[in-house]
Amino acid sequence: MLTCTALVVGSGVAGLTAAQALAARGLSVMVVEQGSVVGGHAAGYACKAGADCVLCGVCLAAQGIRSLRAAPGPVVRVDTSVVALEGSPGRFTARLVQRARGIDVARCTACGLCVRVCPVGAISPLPWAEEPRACVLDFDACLRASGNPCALCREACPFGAVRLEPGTREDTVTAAVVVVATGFTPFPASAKSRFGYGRLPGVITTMDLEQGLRQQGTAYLEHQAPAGRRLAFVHCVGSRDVAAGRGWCSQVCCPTALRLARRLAGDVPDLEATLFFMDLQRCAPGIARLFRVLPPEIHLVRGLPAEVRAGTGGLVVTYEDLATATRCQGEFDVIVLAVGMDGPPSVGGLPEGTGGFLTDLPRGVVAAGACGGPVSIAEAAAEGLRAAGAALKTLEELACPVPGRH
Amino acid sequence: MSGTGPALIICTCGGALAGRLVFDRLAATPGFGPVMVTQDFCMPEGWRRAAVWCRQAGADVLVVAACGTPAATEALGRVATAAGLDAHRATVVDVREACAWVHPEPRWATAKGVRLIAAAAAGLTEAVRTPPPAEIIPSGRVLVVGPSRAGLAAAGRLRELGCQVVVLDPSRSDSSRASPAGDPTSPDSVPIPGRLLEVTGQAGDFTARVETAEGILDLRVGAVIVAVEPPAHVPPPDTSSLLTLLAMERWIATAGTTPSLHGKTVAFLLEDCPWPSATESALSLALSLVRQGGRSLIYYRDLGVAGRGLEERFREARHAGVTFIRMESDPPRIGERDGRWVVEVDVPGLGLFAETADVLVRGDAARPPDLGDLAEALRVDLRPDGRGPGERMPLEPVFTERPGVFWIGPSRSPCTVDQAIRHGEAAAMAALAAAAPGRRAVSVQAIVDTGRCALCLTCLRVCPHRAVTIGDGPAIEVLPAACQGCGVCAAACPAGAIQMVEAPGRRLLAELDALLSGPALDGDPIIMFACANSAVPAARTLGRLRHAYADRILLVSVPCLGRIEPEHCLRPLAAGARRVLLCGCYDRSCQHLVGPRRARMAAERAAVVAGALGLDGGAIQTASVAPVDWHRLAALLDAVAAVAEEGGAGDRAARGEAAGERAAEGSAAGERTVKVGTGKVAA
Repeated sequence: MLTCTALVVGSGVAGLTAAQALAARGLSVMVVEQGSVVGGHAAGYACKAGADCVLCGVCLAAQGIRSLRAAPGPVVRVDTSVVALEGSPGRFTARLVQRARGIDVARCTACGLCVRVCPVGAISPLPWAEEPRACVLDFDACLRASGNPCALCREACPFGAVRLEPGTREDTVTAAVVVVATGFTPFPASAKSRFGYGRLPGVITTMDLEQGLRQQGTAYLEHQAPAGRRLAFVHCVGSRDVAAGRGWCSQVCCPTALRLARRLAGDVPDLEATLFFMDLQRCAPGIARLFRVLPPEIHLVRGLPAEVRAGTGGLVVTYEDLATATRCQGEFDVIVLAVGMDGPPSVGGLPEGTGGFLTDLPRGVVAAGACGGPVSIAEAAAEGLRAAGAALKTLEELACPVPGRH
Repeated sequence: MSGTGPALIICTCGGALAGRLVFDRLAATPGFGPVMVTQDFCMPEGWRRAAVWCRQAGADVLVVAACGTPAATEALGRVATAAGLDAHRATVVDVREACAWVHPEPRWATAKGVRLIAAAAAGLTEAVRTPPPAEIIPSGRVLVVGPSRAGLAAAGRLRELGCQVVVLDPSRSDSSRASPAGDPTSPDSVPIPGRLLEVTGQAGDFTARVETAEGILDLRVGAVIVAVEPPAHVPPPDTSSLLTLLAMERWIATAGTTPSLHGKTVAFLLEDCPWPSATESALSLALSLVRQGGRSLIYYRDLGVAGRGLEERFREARHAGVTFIRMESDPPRIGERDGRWVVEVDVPGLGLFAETADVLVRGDAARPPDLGDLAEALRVDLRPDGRGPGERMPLEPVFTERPGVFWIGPSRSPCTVDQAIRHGEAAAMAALAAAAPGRRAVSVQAIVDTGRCALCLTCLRVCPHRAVTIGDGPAIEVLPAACQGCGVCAAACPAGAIQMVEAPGRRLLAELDALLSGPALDGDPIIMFACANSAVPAARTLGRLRHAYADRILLVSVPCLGRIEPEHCLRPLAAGARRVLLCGCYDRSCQHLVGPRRARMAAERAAVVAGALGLDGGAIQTASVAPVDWHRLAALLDAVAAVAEEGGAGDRAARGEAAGERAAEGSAAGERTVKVGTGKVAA
């Protein structure tokens, strides 16, 4: 049984900010992260700066992760999910299930010796991850899954960090308050089959593009469509769409599409990008200015495409241009679907509102960031601060000794 | 200094670096006393052993050649504490990500490692002895300027957290009505009509001078939250048929009901207001009018629905019978007929579309009040549109360039009610961190040599964090709680009177001198000054990916590019370096706000002097990179190395080529902006 004052579920920008703010107030804080690395979605996004920063906020994630080691800091557990959460303010109990990672986070230096000796490439050094700097073993790919007694990695590791036992470990943690910062789920673009995601080569989502740019740079675009220079961004895929069961505006897709288009237009010669939109949301910091001064390679078309199909010279997009009220067709090499935000993956039976976003949480449980509704990265950081304040307020109200306080 | 010389610990990373580095040659770096080779510096057993060794060796300067992971830095801290070493006399040199993993040839990787180790030792020997930390006791009180929704949300949250709050209402400062509760220092007082005149001091310990009906008083506060709103003009009821959204909102709020609008048609013109806040108030007004039997028309180009619940309310309004008219390019033509307004717009597919309305309501995009005086009092820069403070990534959405000063609500950006309250609560937490009472030790980062100081006040002018003040004497003082350690003051001081505890100007020169001599590299060295917030993390990612770059690129980490002086650029060129690269954040992403601009100025000045000295001024280059963008850094390093390869006469042509390839896009952009930046400064 573990104990902390504040349990933070999720280590994205909101969760990290809340955890750090609470830890700085002298509380014992535990952060539980479902994935193998800390930082949430934003930790995998690309920088979109052209000649100057366009305030996309991706650096905030990198910064939050780097400052994790500042003392006094929160305790972070990766590969761990919260399967049940019950109790009342002052005494919540969360059941945790920790997946075996194969490699002990505390003893791995990411030196890469195990990666080199593994005959089947089952160990990933996670070069993108800032925290924790530790490799991950894929137990399904490991030779031992098929009964082979191979232990080359364990022998190669100079620090005894390799743990070859798969499975899960259960634990419980008690906490006085809980901050839920489980983020969002990207809209499954294949659900809108008329855009051909997953069916037509060259149709990708903004999430794919963010991660591809981060990991492969502009070469990612070449992989999608060699010599492809005609890009289309389709806004509101899974947003403002009652038919798809998503009657909300995801708020971040318009700025993201524009920033990505600008970045690509600046870096890839002869690239032309067309943005298909319904209403441009330009309230994010710095975005109004970017929409006002568009580079000549970026075109705006009011009107969402009806469908995307494969043509002889590329992908054919059929749309109604609302500015002229005419039906048009355009040919593109790459279609980027600006997918919206869905609610977070469910956590231990917490109540969910529209779209799976968390609303009406019990007293003592605070939602931070995108799990309560779509927010940008900078807003998520502010949300983390807000949630930390709300959690502190609950502790004030309890006015009883709280484990781990002071 | 003891006679032993600096101590050196070399970590082989469990043997993983064997064959990549020649440890004997690293150990033979000149100038070192005792040397220890270990294989597990970052493990508990490893750093304990290192600490014991360190104490026995009696060294008071320690260099650890290990990796660039946070674990190594953490272990160094533990060793320093356990061995009783001044933390500023110990450092980690990254020979894994910066040497072994990026230079496949062990010879070159080792040569670079030796130079980096020697430079670190030279720097540490020059390091300033750390003064004892200063102590401040924050005041525990927060000043909120503007009893707006955001301001009251912040004040409410702060009170819930046991914080004393004073709320100032500048919009009523000139009102002759006496305030009902006059004592601003009583903990739960209502908003005091009054104006903020000046804020001096530092985060946690500000003195705010305010003007109230009772006169001018000085309040000691730990933090300031600005949440002012547009001034409240309540229009004359009933008669006016041309309003702004805000005026109409206030009117209805004061009047309660609007009998005069029953059965009337109201047209909302939002064509220039694509903001969620405008949509929010138009929707709620339009809905209530329709429900009272009236008619509402909303004209728009882009409907701002990027706020919680707005899209849902938009649909609700449509179902309730509010008419939405989307228009394209032309603004609506407005005329008058029989005492009613006629609004005519060109709707695509429908042609000209005319409607008559009794009342016209224009969106006003929540135009802020004049913020000049307030910004001056807080010494915060406003944006060109008059809102404040500047749009910069590290400051969004509640911070300002002044630690302990926060800015929220419609005077920062048009925000919905929900957002204003959220920002208020976020700012409350941030303010609490600055103002919470209790002793706080703050480490001194800049030391002023009063003997050298000529009181020219350059530092006062250039400090981006307003951490420099004039103390008794008079003498220059650096406020520890406000100082962020960027080193801009030290770089700008003409008398060289300011020393930074961490890598100051003099120390940087010592490091450079050591770095520029040493074992031969694969060609003349290329010096890259790398900002610790951006270029250093990006370079470390290159290391983790084992992405090789030219062996002769030597990376010098600096806390902010703003502390690079022309001399730092010239010294390498004079010592035979082929190129000097200043690589840091973008203007809008610099945490110290002025870093990239100052770097460009330093580079430009150095280039001029270089010409006079017969050095190649064109070899100095500035560039921007994000911490997550290793691709740009890789392209930049390749381009720089390629230019250096061409050498001397071919330089200019090669640079043109590189720019043509867009490989050095960032740097080219950087060079372009040099002219703009200095032009502004000159003007």
